[in-house]
Amino acid sequence: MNTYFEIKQIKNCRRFIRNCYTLSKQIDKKLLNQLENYGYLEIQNFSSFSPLAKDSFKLKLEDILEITGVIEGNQFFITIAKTDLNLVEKIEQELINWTKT
Amino acid sequence: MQQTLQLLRGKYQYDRNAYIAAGEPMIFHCHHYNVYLQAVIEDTSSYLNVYPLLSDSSQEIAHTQFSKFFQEEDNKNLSIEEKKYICQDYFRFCGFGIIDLSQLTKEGGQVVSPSEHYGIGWKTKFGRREKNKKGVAFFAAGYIAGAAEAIFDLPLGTLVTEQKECISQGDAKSSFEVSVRKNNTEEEDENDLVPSPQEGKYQTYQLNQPSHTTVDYDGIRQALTNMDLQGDSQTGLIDAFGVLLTRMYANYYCLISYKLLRLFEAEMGSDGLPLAAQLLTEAGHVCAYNTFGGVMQSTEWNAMIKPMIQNKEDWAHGITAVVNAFGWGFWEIEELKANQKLKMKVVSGYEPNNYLAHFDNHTELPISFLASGGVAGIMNLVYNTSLTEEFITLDENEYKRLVQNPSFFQTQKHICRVKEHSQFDQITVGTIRS
Repeated sequence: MNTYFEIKQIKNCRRFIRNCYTLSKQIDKKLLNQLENYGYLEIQNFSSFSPLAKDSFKLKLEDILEITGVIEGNQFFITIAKTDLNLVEKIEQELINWTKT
Repeated sequence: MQQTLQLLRGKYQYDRNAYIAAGEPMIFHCHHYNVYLQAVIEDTSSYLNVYPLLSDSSQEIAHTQFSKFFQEEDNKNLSIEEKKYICQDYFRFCGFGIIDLSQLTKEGGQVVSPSEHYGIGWKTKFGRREKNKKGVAFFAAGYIAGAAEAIFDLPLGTLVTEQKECISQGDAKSSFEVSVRKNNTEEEDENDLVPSPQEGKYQTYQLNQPSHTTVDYDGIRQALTNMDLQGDSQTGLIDAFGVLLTRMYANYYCLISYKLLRLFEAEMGSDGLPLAAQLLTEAGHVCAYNTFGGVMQSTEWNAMIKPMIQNKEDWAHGITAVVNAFGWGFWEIEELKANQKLKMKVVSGYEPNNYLAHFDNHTELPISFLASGGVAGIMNLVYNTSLTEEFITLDENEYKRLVQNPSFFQTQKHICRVKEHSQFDQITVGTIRS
């Protein structure tokens, strides 16, 4: 845990690890723009079906990395192949930089 | 061709809460349930001849579905190659994997699958399977035979598929040999194949919004049924909610479960039925634990449903709302007492829909095994894990802790549409102490 996010790791899968982050700041367009360096961005418009719902996003980099989260929410998830854990550090640094701005 | 593929995929029928594709009800289930249910059935193989039912059932369904589809007016002029492509695409769309039917003739042939749901699902859940056992892709084997029969306009039961290689056993691919089935002999009479009951005795109903929750049932159903959940173009798998999902034939689960019951009954008389029921209900509970648990920790849940949640009971409502988009029929909470009791009404459940049309209108025991295990699973996840407070790893150790918990929820009363000839299933779960 640090001042930028809380993290909980889930190990349900043999090939992947899932890091669940609770961010200290709500996810916005600026963060999504930064993250687009890591893969193709897709937005799921749940709010169009229910006024109470928020939208989610997904970024996928081949079979290695998936980043998802709640737009205008604090939940952020990284699913990463156990063979490519070094990428997590880079993305966490992106989160720290974004939180500071 | 794209239009034909879309037509086969069918659409969600909101008046019966089911995905119908060329007459077949399709439902969402994940690899945990698929391979666990199969493992439960396989565990009885030392005293019951269960292997044929695993592949014959999917053969019956695929043959019925594709034959019906290819006989539709718009599809009568499709070429053999086009029909093969359609069956391959549907396999991928449903998350079953990738198959190559190009080598098939009406006498059979070889089929290769570089990615197959059961093989990968098995290895993911249980680890590598021993080489001295059969491969695990019984569903795919039956699908291939049934599809091939429909493609070449052959009667059901003409072909049979044998699996030669299996991803679950460390092979790089799964492969299958399709051949002409030997003429029925006296010993094979019990395995005579019959067409799928398709929608069976379904019911129409409407989704009701409970007054005592802020969870938006209809909004959730609309959002989920409009999500583009289909197999990946490379792997043919649906990797969503932290599990490998499938758009599985509802009738497949029913046929393999109820044929197992029949085998138990034939071998042990009615004394064997409670044991079979216990095994099948446990499979439903395992499904709930993993699938519902995965959903409740997913990004989709956090974006769409969590903002609607105000208390623990809303978690039960949230996952019930999700179930109403799985194609399992209508699930409606009639009574929910915090940490004590959940009474669930199930209308047009896929299990009785099948049983009433295909088997009998009488049973000695309730037959909605998935629903029974699933309702208990909701209460156990909400009240006997810390899932509502934090992200948790849902593994075997956590599951063992859960079932040993003295506050473990299980079905206490099950009014079954088949057994009691009632209008709907009503499942009440509580703890031993309640």
